[in-house]
Amino acid sequence: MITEAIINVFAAVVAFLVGLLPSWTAPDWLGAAVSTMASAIGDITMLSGWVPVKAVGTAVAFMLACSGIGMAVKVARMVLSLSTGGGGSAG
Amino acid sequence: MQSLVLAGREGSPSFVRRSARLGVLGAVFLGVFSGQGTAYASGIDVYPGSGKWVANTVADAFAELPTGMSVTGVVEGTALVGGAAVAAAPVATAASVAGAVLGTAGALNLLWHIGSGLCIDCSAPVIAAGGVNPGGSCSANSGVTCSGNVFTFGNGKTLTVTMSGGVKVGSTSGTIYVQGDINGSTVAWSRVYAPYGENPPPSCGSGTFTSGSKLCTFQVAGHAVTTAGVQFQNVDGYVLGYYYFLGSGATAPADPAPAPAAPTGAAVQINSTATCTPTAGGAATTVTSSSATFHAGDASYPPVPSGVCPSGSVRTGFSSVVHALTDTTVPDTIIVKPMTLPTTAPTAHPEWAPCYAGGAAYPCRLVLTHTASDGSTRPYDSAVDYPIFDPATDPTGMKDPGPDWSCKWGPLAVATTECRPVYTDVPVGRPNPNSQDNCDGSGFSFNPVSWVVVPLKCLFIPRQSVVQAASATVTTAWNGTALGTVSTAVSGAVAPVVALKDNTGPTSCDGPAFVIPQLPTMPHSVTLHPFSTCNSLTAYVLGIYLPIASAAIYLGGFFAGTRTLLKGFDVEQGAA
Repeated sequence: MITEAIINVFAAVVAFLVGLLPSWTAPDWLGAAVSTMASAIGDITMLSGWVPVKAVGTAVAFMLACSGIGMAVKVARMVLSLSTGGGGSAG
Repeated sequence: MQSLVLAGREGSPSFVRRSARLGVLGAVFLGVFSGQGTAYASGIDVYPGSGKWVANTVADAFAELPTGMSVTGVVEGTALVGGAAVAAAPVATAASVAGAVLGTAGALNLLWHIGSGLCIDCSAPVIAAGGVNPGGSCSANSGVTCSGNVFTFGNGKTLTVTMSGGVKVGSTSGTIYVQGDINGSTVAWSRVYAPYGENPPPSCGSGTFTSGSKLCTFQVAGHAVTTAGVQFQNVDGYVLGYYYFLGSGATAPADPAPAPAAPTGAAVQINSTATCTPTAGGAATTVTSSSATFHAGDASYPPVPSGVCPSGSVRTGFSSVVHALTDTTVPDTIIVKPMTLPTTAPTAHPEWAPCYAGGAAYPCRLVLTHTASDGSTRPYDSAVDYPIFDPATDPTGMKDPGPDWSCKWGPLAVATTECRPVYTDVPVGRPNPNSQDNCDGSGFSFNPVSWVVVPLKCLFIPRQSVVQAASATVTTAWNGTALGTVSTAVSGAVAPVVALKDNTGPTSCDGPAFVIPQLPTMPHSVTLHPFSTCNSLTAYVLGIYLPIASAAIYLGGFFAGTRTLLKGFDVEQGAA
């Protein structure tokens, strides 16, 4: 019960803060660009006999994961630096 | 008169080999073809290894034959989609072979005999039978005579036959078979001329082909001749070729659906037996029910049949077994223990005593009721004597159906999360006191341990439904923002790139195909594979290059990724 209440309150606060962000509808060209890119990737796989696409995919996935983790760490450090009253900065 | 043309095209040797062996009998068949231009048999073309050949294209090919020319042939199918083969069957002009649909490995051995197999009477170059058109010429060198259907020529002499117009087999290699019987010999004589192609090869046995006509000379060698010379008779020639449909023009049919995989494991069935006790009293009855037949190797099993008790009775006992249908040596496997209601209520729920045997309300019906927004109620006990709100729910627990649901066991109110019979350790027809969610007080008992454990559990362990609802709230709010929209688009763009890591490599060494459509000057469309790796040298080089490139990419990705990760900790690689 207590935990559920905390979860509900936290979710409501986060939803409220997120709702303050401006809304935006993606233009059609963005969807078309994504589709085109997906088609291009599909065509590239047909050249997998010449290009090590599996290695490319694995390397890209690893780099994206590291970027995501690094960004999350940086954001966490920035948030924690605020809790110390500005004594440290991770900006 | 149109010539019979077998259009072909060179393909990669890794594909099904093609050989068009054109059998032409000396003067007989060569005279059939006169120079009336070229004609290509539509529909018969070379397909580079993957595609479908529709049987009626044979008719298209034969339809182009000039009137009067008879063609008899034998069509054999191999490696057809679905596994069935087409038996050798005669093919007549404009006929078709039904059902000859080929898959990617399919081929047709098209064997046809042209004409009736008779020799040309050089005195009058008319084909005696078979309906082939007259034409061509037949000349003989000095020392060769022709009478009736017999050529006779002396030892060492040559028979020169000229075929104007000729037979075109496209650019494929071809083999001309000339064979016949040699008078006085039991050995069939034949000569094979190969290659034979549209663009004349440099030689045809001992002769050469010339443009616009096909000239073959052959000699009888290795055979003793009499003073009367050798009689070349009963000759026959045939065309033997392998054809694959290129796909130009006709639409290939879709492959038939693959045959379902054969079931694995013994055929079994779930048999359930329910004991039904009338609520008004009286003897109990049994109701049996069975599931559909399934096999151990099936991807999913049918649900356990519940067996519905007749109206006015409740289920007071239940058992279910898996029964092998054919293997009598396999005993029934008990999946639901036979159970009957105990006579006394459990210590955790002494208030349930009225519904146990001997109780005032026995036997009790477990009913789940939904209350609509307008206040109307709907009990879910119409189908079974006790309703199951979510059959897929783990029997050790139950999802909270929400505040608009209520459950009663006879006259007793029970938690909705317990409103489902559990087959394993509690009698059928009784709510499940082992539910994880007894936080509404129904789980209270006189056991002092539960006074501590249950409240602590309810206080600090959140329900899964609450967590999921909170996550959905945040996700919904995020997706409506600009950042959410952009992140969704970026995810859609990145996902295909990340999916490359699961690439299993090319399925064919051909690489992508590029089709050049049929132009006015072209007999058919052309399919190119410029990135083919089927060549042994190319494959060898790639076998060295690809691992090195992969290793370089892996190392580069590793260093780039770790550098990005360390930046999050404000650690710069190589920083002083």
